[in-house]
Parts: sequence; C-alpha cells; structure tokens
Amino acid sequence: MGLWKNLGSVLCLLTIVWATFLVVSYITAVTIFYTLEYSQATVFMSVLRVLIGLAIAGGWIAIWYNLTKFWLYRILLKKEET
Amino acid sequence: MLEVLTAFIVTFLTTPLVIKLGSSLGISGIDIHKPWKPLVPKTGGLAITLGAVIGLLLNFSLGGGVLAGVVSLSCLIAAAIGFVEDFREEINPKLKPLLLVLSSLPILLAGTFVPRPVIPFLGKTRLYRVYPIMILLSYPIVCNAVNSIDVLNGSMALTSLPFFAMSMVIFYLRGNYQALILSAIFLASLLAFIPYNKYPAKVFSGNSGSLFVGAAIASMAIVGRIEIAAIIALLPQIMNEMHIIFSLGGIKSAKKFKSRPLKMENNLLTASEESDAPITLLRMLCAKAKVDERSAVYAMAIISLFTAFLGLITDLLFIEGAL
Repeated sequence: MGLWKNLGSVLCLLTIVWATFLVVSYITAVTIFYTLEYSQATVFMSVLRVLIGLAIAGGWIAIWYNLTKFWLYRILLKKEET
Repeated sequence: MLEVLTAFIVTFLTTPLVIKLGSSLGISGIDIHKPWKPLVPKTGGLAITLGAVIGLLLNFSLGGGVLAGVVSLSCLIAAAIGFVEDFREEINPKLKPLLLVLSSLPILLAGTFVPRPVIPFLGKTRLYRVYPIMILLSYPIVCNAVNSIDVLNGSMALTSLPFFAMSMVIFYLRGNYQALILSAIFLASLLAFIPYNKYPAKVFSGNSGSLFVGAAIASMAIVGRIEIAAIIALLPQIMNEMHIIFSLGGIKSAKKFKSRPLKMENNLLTASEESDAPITLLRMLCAKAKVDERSAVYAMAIISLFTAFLGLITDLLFIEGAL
C-alpha cells in the first residue's frame, strides 16, 4: 500500500506545481519576455521589470524545491510516526 | 503509416543484434537493483535510434518535407553524445550540456520553428529574440531530464511514451498530420524497444537512447508548437533532474553522491532516510515503503501519464483557442 499512497501524494504535489506553473509562465511572459521583446520604457524600468520577473521565476523554483523537500521529509518519510 | 510501421519493425528486429554487439564488445552496465547484479548491454539506444531515424528518413523520402530530416539530425547529434558516453566514458557533466546545445542547431539553422508561443492567460506572443535562446537551452534541459529518469528497467521508455501519445492527440486535433506522423515514429520505436527493456531488462537504452529520446521530445515540442504542454508533460523528469542538481549543489556526476537515494532490502527498493541523499522521484515513491522494481516503474509511468493529461488539458483550455 505504501507505494500507492506515495504515488497519490506525488500526484498532489505535481498538481500544485502545474497550477503554479501556469501563473508563473504568465508572470514571466509579462515581465521578462515583454521587456526583452517590446518594451520602450526607460532602462531603469526595463531592468526593474526583468529583475522582478527573474525573482518571481527563481522564487517559484526555490519554493518548488523546498515544497518537495517538505513533502519528502515531513510527509512521506514521517507518515508512520504521526 | 508505412514509416511508423518501419520504425517499429527495425527497432524490434535490431534490438537482439545490438544486445549481441554490446555483449561481445563488453559495452555493459551492472543492473544494481538485482540481487545477482547482472551485466546488461547498454547498447539499446542504437536500436531506438536506428528504427526512428529510418522511419524519419522514409517519411522524408515519401515527401514528408524537410521537417523529418531536421528532426532526425537534431536527435542524431544528441545520440552521438550519448554514444560517446556509452562506448568510452562519462563526459564532464559541465561540458555535456554545452555539447547538447549542438542538437538545437539544425532546427535553429533550418528555421523550422515559429517564435510565437501561446502563454496561458496571455495568448499568442511574439518572441523573436527570446525564442531562439529558449531553443538553445531546451535541448540540454530535456535531454538531461530524460536521462535522469532512466534508473530502472523500462523507466525511460515508459515515462516518455505518454509525451508522444499526448503530442499525437494534440497534433490530430490541430490537423497537423506531419507532426503527428513524426511523433508516431518515435512512439513506435519506443514501443518496439519495451519488450527487451522491461523488467528484467535484457538491454539498457544507455545514454545514447535517453539523450536521443530527450532530443526527440524537445524537437517535437518546438516544431509542433506544443511548448507549454511539453513542459507540463515533462514535469516529473524536470523535477527529478532539478532536485538532483539542487541536492548535489550544482551540475555534478551522479558518482559524486555521498549517499544513494535508495537502498535494497530483501530485493525490494526503499528510500534512504539520510538527509544528504539526493531527492529523486523514485525516492519519493519508495518512502517508508518496500517496492518491487516492476511496480515502481509502473508508478513512474502513471505519474507521466497524469502530467501528460495535465498538458493536454492545458493545451485544450488555454492554447488551442489562441492559435
């Protein structure tokens, strides 16, 4: 049974990652991609926009990694003790 | 459909030959998850490559257009890098991604891409500057991600099949029959390989096989304009590779692991509980459980089926209407 419980848990994690990916892809497009392709704003505003986009995309990856760590160590590897 | 059938038959018939070739030349790897630690030829990539490339070239000769030639060239470059690793030794892990960038060049130089991807909630974009850079980056990322999941008998093939199945559904719905045939060729080649690679494996796909399939996935995502659906379908592979890199603190050889992610107990897989062991998809599946190899591979395939379904849903909800 352990494998199938773990499988369900991983599918839940991936569903969260999928939903957040949709949002992050939108934010990346309107910040980084927009600035690099279309923006006619000042250099300061363009750099700021790209940095915000990079921070959000990087933050999402960091959250994904830490969420997986939490999922593994606090849920999957601890489940029999709780 | 002749080219699809040809890809299947060529891979199916040549796999026994490449098994013999691998055994006679000593190109083998130890199957570490078996108690008797058998030596298994790792030349299966040759058969996958041969079947798929012959199918692609047949498509080209039957008037399928330049696309088949360009895609086969991209995949062959990735496979060649894998062959070097299988036949000689592991390439420096920092150099390998740079070499895999070469796989993107046929598509970039032939211009067989449309830099107008559809982004969910936003719609169609024009990324004439960014898109070529994304193509360059996509090959090393996807090839290494597919390679990272090739850890159990049949795992690479069974986790890659859902992507090709998903892409075929999308291409069918869009009426893009040329891309549909190309995806079907790769699917047929992988299907023909599975009887030899499933538990207990008679042959491994090797790095040549996994890098070839990775390049095939990246190529189909680009030329078929299914970038977002492909990223979603590949979330398990990408997650696996990304977490290994983070766990190791950079791009390093798997041999640098201080602790292995899995242990064997009574011939069953179980997850390591050590905090310095790398986080992998398989480790998550085997947490606090004792799992036989066959069931673990099925679970990995179910995960890939699930994300391929999410990719399909995303395409239908957000992409199709905007194209």
